[in-house]
Amino acid sequence: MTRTRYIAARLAQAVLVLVGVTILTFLLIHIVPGNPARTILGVHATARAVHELDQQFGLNQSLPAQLWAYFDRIIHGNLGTSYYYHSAVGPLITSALPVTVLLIAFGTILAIVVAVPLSLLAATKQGKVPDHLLRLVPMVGLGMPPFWIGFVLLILLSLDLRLFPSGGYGSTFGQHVQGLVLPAITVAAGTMPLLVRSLRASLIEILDSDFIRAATAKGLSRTRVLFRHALRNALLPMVSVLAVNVSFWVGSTVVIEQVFNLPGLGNLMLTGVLNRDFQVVQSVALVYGVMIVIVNLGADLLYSYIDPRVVLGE
Amino acid sequence: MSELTEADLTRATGRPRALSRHRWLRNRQLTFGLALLVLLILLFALAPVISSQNPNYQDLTQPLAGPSSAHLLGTDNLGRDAFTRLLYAGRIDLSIGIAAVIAPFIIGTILGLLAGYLGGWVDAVIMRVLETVFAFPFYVLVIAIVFALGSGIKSIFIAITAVAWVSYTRIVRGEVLVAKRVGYVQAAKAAGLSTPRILLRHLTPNVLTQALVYAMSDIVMTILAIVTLGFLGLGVQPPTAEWGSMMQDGYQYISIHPWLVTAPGIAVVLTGLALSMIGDGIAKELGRRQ
Amino acid sequence: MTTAPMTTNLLEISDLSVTMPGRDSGSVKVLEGFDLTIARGEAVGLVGESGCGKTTTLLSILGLLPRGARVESGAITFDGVDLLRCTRRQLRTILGRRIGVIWQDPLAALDPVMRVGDQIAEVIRAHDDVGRGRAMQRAKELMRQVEMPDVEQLARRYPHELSGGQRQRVVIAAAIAASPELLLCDEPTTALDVTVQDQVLGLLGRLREELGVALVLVSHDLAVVGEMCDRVSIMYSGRIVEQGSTDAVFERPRHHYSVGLLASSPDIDRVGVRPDGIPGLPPGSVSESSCAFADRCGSADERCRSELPVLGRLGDRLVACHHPAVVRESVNG
Repeated sequence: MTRTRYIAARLAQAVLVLVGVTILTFLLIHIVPGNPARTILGVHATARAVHELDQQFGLNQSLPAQLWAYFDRIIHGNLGTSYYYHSAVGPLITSALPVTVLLIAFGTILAIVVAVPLSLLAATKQGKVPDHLLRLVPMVGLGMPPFWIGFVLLILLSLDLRLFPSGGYGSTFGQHVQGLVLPAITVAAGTMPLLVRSLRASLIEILDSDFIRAATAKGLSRTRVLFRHALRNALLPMVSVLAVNVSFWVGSTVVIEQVFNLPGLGNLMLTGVLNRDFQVVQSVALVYGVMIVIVNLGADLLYSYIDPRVVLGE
Repeated sequence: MSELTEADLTRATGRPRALSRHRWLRNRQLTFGLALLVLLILLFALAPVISSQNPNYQDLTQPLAGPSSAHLLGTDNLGRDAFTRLLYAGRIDLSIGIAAVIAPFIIGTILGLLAGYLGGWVDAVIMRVLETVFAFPFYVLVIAIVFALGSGIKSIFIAITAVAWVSYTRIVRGEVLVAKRVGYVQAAKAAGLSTPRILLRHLTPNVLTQALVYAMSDIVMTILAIVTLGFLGLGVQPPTAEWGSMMQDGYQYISIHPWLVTAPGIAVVLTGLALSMIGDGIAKELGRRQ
Repeated sequence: MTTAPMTTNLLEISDLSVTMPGRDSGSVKVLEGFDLTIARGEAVGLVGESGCGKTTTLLSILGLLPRGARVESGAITFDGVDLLRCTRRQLRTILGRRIGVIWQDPLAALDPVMRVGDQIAEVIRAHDDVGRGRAMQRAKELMRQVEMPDVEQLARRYPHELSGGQRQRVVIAAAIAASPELLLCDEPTTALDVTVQDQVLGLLGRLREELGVALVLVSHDLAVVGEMCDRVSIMYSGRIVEQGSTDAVFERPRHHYSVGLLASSPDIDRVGVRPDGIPGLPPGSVSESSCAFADRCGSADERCRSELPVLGRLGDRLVACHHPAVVRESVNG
């Protein structure tokens, strides 16, 4: 398979998933028990409000017609109107999205920066004390609720030491960065265990492979063998581990934003939940889905560039 | 050359000890995990014996009391004993966590067997749906579904089943594809066995072990999801004690009574640790790589 | 040649014993009392079934034994330097620079995500203070030296994009990149197609002449050893059972294992024995109190099962056998 064909096939698959993602968010309103509009608005809603909502979602049309209308609306970039804010959902998302993206990027970079040296340490000292300690990290780390890590950080670093603000996003870029430090550490703390586990396993396997022996037998420095040969090969599976778990760590930001009071997508969604603002919840869910499809696509394309073998198929 | 020296003997006796210690270490993971889980289950099950207090009794004269002999972890904002609530919450979180894994396990495994074995359009349809579900962050989809269905334990079960089956399907399908290539399925076919019989008799036991190992870590994920939903006010409804809602209650008082938040968290971490160790231990006993 | 004292030994391995961690507990001896000397420019073959300790010997020289394996005793001296007591840094000035390695499976021995040209050039850069461009230029010269076509293009390829023969040429080019004095070859043709095997062997022979490099050739392929080597050591279950000049051993094997090995090799028909395989399998661990080959040997008696035969001089060679095979004059020998 040539690279062009690989990319074309991968793009086609992504489009298919995007259609699926859209259908799934569409179905969301149809799993609401009873009269959706009535349930969403609550018992105290006026008949007029219920009728308006029915109109807005086209709930009195046939299912295929509704789906078609939904697709049509989404493709034209119309994410609906918020029942609570009485404004278009699109701009709300546009202002929240950068916060979430920045938080994810910041947290991921942090996780990689910490995971790489730790995994190298564990893999080169396999079976010794540092390795045994580091093997506990994933087990303890994966059992921690993401938001709870945030609490502990808040208590330790913000309330006791007053190093960082306990929440909020500020208005300048400097304040943004400052406000993102603790949430990003929280995101990293949730992601890092997964990375350490996979990176340690692949490093151990790679360090025992023939080409590492061959590289050592060439008389290369230990640093070159470890970084240029072992680590470079181990980073490839890490990209897929990140991609496979992307839904997990992106998902954790939903709650982390809440803890640190960051005005990101997760916050928007949860506010929507509290206000029973169905349109906001639905559209934010859609945006999350699209975001992950794009991240996965990007990871695969990146992978095909850094690993020359991938295009040749399995 | 053939004679053993003193040094040879020391080495020969030193080796086995070092190795058996490693073995013990490996098994210790499983043993320790099981012991911890049993201890936790006992604590939760014997909650009425350990604590004489009612988890939902509100002593409004004593809100937010500090830790004392009467209240090991103090009281919450409604004057309820935090330690007693912690134990009772364990009953809820652990049992829902385990119960909520059963449906996705069964559905996911069946779909994985079908997709892997039948291939063709069945596989294509299942995989497209699977990719779609995978495209959503776990918490986003769970929150959205619970929101649409209305909060409560039933919604939690439905939401987790709707989202969690995909992992089992993916694992089982992968195992089936490998097994097909290995050839024992082909051998069974050649021996004239029918398709459903091959699935049942030959594939299932092999494939199930992988799914079971995953189920252990999935219980951890599920408990985290329940706790998270509870924290967001979408989970088990008050006044039932639940770790997530306890943290939500304590959140406002984090600067004066941090243990109201940390203690339920530690309970979650310990439960997760026990289950992860059991899962890892089983995986290693089966000699498979995670 | 075999009886002449070696005064200019390049490599001397004496009394080398290695253990590996066992399956359940304890350790298993995989190499015991191993002696080998190699003169400058000499080619020596190590022959035996898989698991007899050939590869362990090579990895011990390189200090690359797998995790858990231990050198229990012995010395490996390369040009006066004891490799077993070297620091890592000292070892680096010898590995790649003075000792090159040709591996059994070229695909596994090459880094999958590095262009092959770079993999040759990195050897040059590790040992000579040259720039990137100069090293790459030299790498391409080496690729031409190992008879690769379209060097400019192939240097930019990744290992999986080359054929098996080309990959092994890349491994050879990297092995000779720093003009070593000793080449360790671990089954250099086993992973290759039959048609390519001859080409690679021819290349090795030519390079040996051109560079005057000494060679340790590990193989189970007797034809290859017969063609390439001056001397041969036949190994069985972690020990040398017969050692001598290739001509002497191949034409008049004295150890019963050598007799069987030569008989079961279809390429060698210089020996007048039935061309069938040796029944049975080699034992898993080095034997201490009996001849390891006794269970598979037609001439074994009680003594063979109760007393370890010591490697001793027998005419023009060394043999470890209580009842050496009677020399039969080969018809065409």
